[in-house]
Amino acid sequence: MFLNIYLNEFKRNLKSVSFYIFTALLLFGAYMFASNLNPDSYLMGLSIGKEWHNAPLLIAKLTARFSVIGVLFTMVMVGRAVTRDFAAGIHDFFFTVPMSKASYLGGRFLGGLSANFLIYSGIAMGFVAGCLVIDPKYYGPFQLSAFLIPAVVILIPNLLFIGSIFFSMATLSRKMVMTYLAGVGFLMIYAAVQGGFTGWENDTAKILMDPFGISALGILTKYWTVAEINLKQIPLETPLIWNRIIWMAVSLAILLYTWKRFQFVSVLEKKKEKRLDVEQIESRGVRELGTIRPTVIDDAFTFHLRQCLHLVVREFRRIVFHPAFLILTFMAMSELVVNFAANAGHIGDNVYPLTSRFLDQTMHIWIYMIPLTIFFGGLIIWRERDHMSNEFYDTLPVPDWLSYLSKLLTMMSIQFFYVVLAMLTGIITQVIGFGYTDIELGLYFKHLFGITLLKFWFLTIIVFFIHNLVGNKILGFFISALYVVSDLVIFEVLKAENFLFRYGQLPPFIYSNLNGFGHYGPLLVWYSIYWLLFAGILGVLTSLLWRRSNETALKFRFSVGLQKLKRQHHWALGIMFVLFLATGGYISYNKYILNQYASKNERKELRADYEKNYAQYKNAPQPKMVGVNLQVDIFPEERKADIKGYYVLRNKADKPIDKIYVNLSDQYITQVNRLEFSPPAELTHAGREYGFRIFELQKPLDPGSEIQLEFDLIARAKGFTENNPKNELAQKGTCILLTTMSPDYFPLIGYIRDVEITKKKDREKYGLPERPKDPPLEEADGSICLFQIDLTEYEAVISTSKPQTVVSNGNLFRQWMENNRNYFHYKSESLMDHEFVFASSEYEMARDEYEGIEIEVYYDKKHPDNVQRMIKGVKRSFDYCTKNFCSFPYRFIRIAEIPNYVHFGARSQPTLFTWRENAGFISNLEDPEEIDMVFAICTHEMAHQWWGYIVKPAYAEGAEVLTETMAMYVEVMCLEKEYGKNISRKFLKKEMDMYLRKRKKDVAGERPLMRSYADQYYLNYPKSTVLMYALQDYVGEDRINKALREIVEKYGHRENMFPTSLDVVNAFKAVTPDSLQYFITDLFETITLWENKAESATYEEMENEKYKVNLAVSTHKFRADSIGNQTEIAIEDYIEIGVFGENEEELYMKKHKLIQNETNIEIIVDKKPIRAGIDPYVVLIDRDRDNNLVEVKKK
Amino acid sequence: MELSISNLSKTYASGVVALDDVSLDIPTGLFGLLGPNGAGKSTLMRTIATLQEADSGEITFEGIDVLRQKSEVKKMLGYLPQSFGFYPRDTGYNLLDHFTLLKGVKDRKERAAKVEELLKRVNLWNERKQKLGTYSNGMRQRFGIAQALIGNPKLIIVDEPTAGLDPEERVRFHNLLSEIGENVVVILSTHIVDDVSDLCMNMAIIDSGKIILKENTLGAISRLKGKIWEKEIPKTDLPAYEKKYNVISTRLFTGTTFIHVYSETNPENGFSNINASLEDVYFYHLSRAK
Repeated sequence: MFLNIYLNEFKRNLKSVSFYIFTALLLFGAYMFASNLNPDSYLMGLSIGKEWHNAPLLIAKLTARFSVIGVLFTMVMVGRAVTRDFAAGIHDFFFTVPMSKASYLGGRFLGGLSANFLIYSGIAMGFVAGCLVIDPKYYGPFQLSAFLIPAVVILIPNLLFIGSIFFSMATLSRKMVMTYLAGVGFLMIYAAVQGGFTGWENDTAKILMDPFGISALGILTKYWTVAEINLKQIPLETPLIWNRIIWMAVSLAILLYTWKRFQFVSVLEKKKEKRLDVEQIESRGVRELGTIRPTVIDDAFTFHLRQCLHLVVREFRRIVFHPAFLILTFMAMSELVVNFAANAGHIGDNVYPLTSRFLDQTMHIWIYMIPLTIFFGGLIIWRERDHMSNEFYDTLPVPDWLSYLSKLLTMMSIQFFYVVLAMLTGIITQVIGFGYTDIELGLYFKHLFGITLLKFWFLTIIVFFIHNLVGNKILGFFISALYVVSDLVIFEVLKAENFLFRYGQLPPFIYSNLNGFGHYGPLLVWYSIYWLLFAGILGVLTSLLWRRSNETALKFRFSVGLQKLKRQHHWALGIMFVLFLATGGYISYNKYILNQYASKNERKELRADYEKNYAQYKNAPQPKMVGVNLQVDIFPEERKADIKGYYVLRNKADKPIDKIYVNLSDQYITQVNRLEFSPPAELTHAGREYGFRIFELQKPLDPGSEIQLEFDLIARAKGFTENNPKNELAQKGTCILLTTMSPDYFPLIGYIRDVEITKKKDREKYGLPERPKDPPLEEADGSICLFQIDLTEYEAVISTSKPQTVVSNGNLFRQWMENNRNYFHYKSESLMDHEFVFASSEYEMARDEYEGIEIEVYYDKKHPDNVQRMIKGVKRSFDYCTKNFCSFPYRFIRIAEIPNYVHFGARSQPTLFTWRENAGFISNLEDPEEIDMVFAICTHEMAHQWWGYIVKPAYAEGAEVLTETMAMYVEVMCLEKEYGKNISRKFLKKEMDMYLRKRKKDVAGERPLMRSYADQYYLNYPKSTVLMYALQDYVGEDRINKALREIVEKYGHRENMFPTSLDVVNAFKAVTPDSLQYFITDLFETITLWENKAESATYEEMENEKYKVNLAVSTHKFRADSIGNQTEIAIEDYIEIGVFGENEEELYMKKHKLIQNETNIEIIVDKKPIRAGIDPYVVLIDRDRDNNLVEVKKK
Repeated sequence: MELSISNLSKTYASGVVALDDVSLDIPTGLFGLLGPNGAGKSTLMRTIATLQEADSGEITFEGIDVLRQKSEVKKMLGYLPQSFGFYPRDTGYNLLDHFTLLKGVKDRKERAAKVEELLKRVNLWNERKQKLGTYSNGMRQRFGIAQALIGNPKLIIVDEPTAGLDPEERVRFHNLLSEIGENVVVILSTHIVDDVSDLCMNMAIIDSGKIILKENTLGAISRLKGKIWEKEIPKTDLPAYEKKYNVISTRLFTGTTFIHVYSETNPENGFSNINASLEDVYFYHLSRAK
């Protein structure tokens, strides 16, 4: 019997259309993933870097995620297995056939589940298909086991779990609606798994608590290298196995419970409601009541509105008390609170609970609002039909629009209610949770009602349109979901970026506490109007086609709609359509005419063309900037800057120069009044790529001679645009740069290397020759600097509007007011690198004097909290660098707060750091146990004044060793000196963890630090910290600083001689004793990892009240290649051995030379030992840092 | 006041012909539309009630084009669908009040009075605070008719209202229908002959989408007077009788088979003449149509 039912159910599923649709969807998903060559794009939180596209771990992870997203499939295939009988009313037929509950339920469940399992074959097909369309070098050999192991270990238990919940809910309640609830519950669990665990420290608990095994796959492989990901099957380690056992047991328990509770009865006994018995009815008999009294019937428009309100209130009450709504809302609000509270900012520090920070989180409630709108929208639309009371309502003498409008308004008011709840949640969290009372109500309103709610409403309108048009509830749900998914696929995965075609979405914007919505305001407003009009058209169409009869055929509904079409509809539709087009036209005018809209690809193409056309001039000698004289008038309110001035250029080469190349991008400079040389030169070429111009000099510029480039330019941000909105020109917080990297606001001389595309796949795509990202060390030319930077004199008169202050580099020579504008005259006292900043805002200023330098912090009056920490950071870094490297050549250090528009946190220019508001100014650093990241960042930026400006690296791989590595070194040393070893160790732990996690993501492949590329951040920052700390720990801080001082002495302030990482490494070698020379090789010249482990430790008390500790340690040392293939090498290393007593007291700490993998060490200590181990503070890079110490047991 | 249907046709997308050139004039008073299941009764009812579109034909009522001026029709329509449900957690009173508001009764007191009047009329006043989910079939039907009577309906359509009711409830429902004002058009569609014979002055029989009889009820019966003959026969002989006579119906009574035969003259052979009932009219016309 069981087999019969099982096969029947299985075959029924195989015959259903949904089976093939689901399989196709999974196939498509996996195909999209496997064939995707863009490492920046994510599919369900997964992206492919350098690993094979069909790497077993990727297959497993995608399978796990799909099994969760596949709740919809499971809902249909397993949840309905039994309710189908009830819905069709044929359950009595089955119940009267002689069979056991177990075979009926078991057969149905397993039959559905098997079919459900089978659709996941789509993943395998998708991977195979995806690999077929890409270059074979991106994927490895097909391994059946890579699909089978996750199928058995991940997929089957997950489906069992998901299926058992659905099956149980649906079967016991006999209602399909309960499966919807289960689905909602599911999304909750998944959200908890994704978000809720992030705060947990305990990895094992995280693994065990996750019913889908996703955490296990992530955590157990977090330090895997590319090579391991490619080759290894998923790790069947104990925590994963236990996780699977636990959740399978839970599933079985649920199924057993279902089996026990299920009854073969036709109607479930309900609690008896009070019911009048028949006799009572009988006794009343039949009476004559005569004719019915006529009533007054109202048909006025205002009365219809009242009827509408009545309907809205009635339905609203039902929805807000619906369990699914309550659960989902509660979940969303808790997630808001949790995220807001735990939101530590991406630089790892706590942040004050600003309103804008909370509002950043509210973007996430969109994830809840999508299913909520689709589900409840459908529920509301289909309410009468579901209760079969539609024929009453459809024949009511109310206008057709009323039926539509009441439902639409119901959903909209629910969303309104939801947003109000979100706002209250935010305010309550701020006030009660944090005792923070600076509530920006206006901002709440603008953000939540102006943006968030509007987007929700747009979704509602289209969901109603779809449901009404489709005329079938399930299909309506499905197509609505399909709409949302395809929107995400097209715009988030495939990265289509034109918001004129993305219904109901507003372009991304950046909110700044300095500048508010700023210039994003008009952008958002116009797009809102645009989509509002479109939504209006959809609304009128929906109203016209609104179904008030039993006819589903579109033919009839269109003809009925046409009948209804009255003059006012013509007008409404016509006006809205015209306005929609006009708004679209206005947006396009702003986008394409006022601002040259260039898509991401077009911008890349421009860069590619620049290289193709002008790389020929790469090595042509060009005159150098020796004087910069500017007059910059900033009109922040108009988002405009008038830029006048001249460069003095000197031929420092040994040959005459007859052509000068000038770049000036037209993206930012909207008007060029003057751009010419004096003595004059002829403009012979003007290209569109970065405004590359060739000037031919009438008389060649002899070596040592000078020429002036004079310019008069206007930069103005006109209108609005979503792409390249010229954030530099902000009403409050303008920050324009004269930078070596891009000729945006100021002309630059010579071919600009930084424009070139470095990503390998992009270079292939645009037909550029393959090249290493940076020149190999061996080919490095010590006379070419990494930065195309010149040492120059600098003088600028800068003006801005009255309430604002301008911050720039150099000495503030004079400051005055004229024509109601503020003027600032800055002038350099000594030569400066040409990286100049012009930052204008309504600044407050804090000043301090220290050792002959003036420290000034320009900050927004809302952000005074961390200013003193910044000043302290400058001082400590100043102390460290002047003491160990060389004196500081300037008398000023300024810090200017700039709006959130930039990607970097803080950036160092000569004598001036620009610092993004959210990257330090709003950090809450009151907890002394936490790392003072503001201080740390400040010491880092200050160190760049030496490592980056005084000493500039040569253009070669490993150049960042001379900038970031050194800055990180200064940072960690200052942190340790100021806050002690506990804090610096905490910092090092974070850095090592980050390095180990990020290395697999590197598409270029990992390189020894000495040869790192400039964009290998995980090497240049976190790994550098770890390595430099280890180096000074082994060799000695004094010796390292001596080596560095020599570098500074040799290369500092030079214009034609630049060091490479090789020079640094050699300097280190020179100060390192022979016994440790190997260590320099380990750290800089190779990728080296250790696996240190304390195997066991015992102690025995000796007669003289001392303790003898017997410690067994093992150590292995590996060299890794670019994708993490490890080769073990012989050990002959000094490694720290430590014994700790009570309260972590160091009883013994000494570096031992270990020459074997396994070593036994005997140590005598004075106090009772508690723990002992090898490399106890994990100074060496170690993928398993938790086994370095063991408890010392009594022998 | 008369509802006039002319040349109404409707074919479903599946190819089923639901209405085939239906023409009917329905006068004031109770009108019975009789037909077997699937004859097209509900399609006709729904089409009149603005819930379905026709392929061709006209329906007019009080000078209104029913097929096109739907919102005008709705203002004078009271409709009790064949199968329906309610939001089970509403009480009878609340839901009727809700419908009363939606039917256009603005004044609160007027509404309360109307709800009370109707609930009393359909004998649900004592159960007004019960949830609809607990109502019996008969109570639900009575509630449904109360709903149909709100406003001042001039056209009342009740589609198979007695199906599934026990005999008592049916009697009660019949009483209720018979009380409905005589100045309105009431169309009662049913497959139960007694519904029509108990209540309707005029009637029509519909089968396979065609009207096969439209007549005054009593007239239809009297035309068969003396032409229906009955005989008790062994069940096995039925095929022989069917060949020989115009058998319009067979029925069982305490396990014995009785056949009714239409014949202008006495068929002899043990047949006895009986008083024709509406049932005989019904079966006679159905058998003729086949």
